[in-house]
Parts: sequence; structure tokens; C-alpha cells
Amino acid sequence: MSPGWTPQPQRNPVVGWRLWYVRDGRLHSWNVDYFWQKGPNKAECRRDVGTGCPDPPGKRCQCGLWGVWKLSDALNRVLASTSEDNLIVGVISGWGDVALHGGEGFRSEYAKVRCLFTDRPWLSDPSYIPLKKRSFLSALFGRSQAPPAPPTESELGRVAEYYRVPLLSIARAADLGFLGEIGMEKKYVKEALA
Amino acid sequence: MGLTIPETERVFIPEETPLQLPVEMPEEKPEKEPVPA
Repeated sequence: MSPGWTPQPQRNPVVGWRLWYVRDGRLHSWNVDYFWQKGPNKAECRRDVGTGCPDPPGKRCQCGLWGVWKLSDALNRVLASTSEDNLIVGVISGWGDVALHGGEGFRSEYAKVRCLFTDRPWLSDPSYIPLKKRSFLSALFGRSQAPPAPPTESELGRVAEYYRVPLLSIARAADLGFLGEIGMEKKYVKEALA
Repeated sequence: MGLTIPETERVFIPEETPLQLPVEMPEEKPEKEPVPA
């Protein structure tokens, strides 16, 4: 080791699961009106002007670019609050100022998409209401438009190309060691495969 | 719907921290003394 080199305590970026809507060939947040950018995204507090956090992720706020440790948590959140089927699963890494939320996930100042997946695990989730039934319920309760159709695999491919990230199955990403490579803990890889 | 567990810790993570390898620093060479003209 050369004199003058001092090891610095460092942390790797945090890695978490997310779901997005696929809209216009891009990733759109399912809970706020925001298209994810390719490369780094910077968090903004979306509370009213004047009351928003100056430096997201704010304390006692929900702002920031967030991901959750477990795929099942990401699915539960989205499926509880959407009637749309045009979803995609992915993994993000977060850095900068990062608020950790125990065993649940994180809110970060910066984040980027690292990988997108072809899997649609919600199809086997007992709480998932199939699209046709939801379309019927939407019509019954006065929604004039049926929910958008799920993206095809070629559409997913174009989205991944736009963000310059791999599009894989979760099993393939685990086999390749890709999820570990980008910093996901083994237990969360296992949980996603279960 | 955001995160339900309150914030438990706050950390700062630099963007690129893939590996922690020692960096070879070039040796400093003493400057030559100017030669009087």
C-alpha cells in the first residue's frame, strides 16, 4: 500500500425493488406523475410549493426515490392501489443522502434503474384481480376507459433499451449472479425467487 | 402509498463505490534546482 493512501469507510449503493407503469415506452411512477429518466434521477419533494422539503429525502416526509428490499413488498403496494395491468418490475440503486426505513426499504436522493424483468409475479398473487374482471368492474362503476393492456415482451425490450439496462427473468438474473453483483443481499434474491 | 416503517437511519452514499482498491500514488520527485545561467 502506498504511503498517503487512507482507506475510507464506504457504503455501496442501496438496491431495491420497484414497479412502474409502462407509458410511451418509458417508466412512469405508479404513485406520482413522474417519468423516470435514463441514468441518474434526482429526488424532488412533491408537496406544495413552499412546504416541500429543500433537500429530499426529507425527514418526516415520504419524498425521495424509494425502493423496497423485498419484491413481495413492492408487489403488495402496487396491487393494493392500481387497476392497471401495464406494469413492469425492476431494480434500482440509490445513493446520495439515503433514509433507511428498517426492514422495509429506503428513500434516496439519487437513483437509477439497474435492471428490468420480464416476470409478472402478480399473475400468481391471490390478491390480484385479473384484468378482464377489473375492466368489467371499471365499466360497472362508470369508468369509461378500460385499463391499458399489459406490455408485450418486445415493448419491454424497447423500454430496457431506452434505459440501457438488461431485461432478464428474475431467475436468469439470479443465476448469472447479476443481482448480487449490483449489491442485492442474498436473502432478498432468494425471497424474489420463492 | 409510501414506506410505512418510520425512518430508522440516515446514511450518505457516494455514487460510485464499486471496489475499495488501494490507489497507486505517483512518487513525488524533487524538483531540480535551477541551474544558474
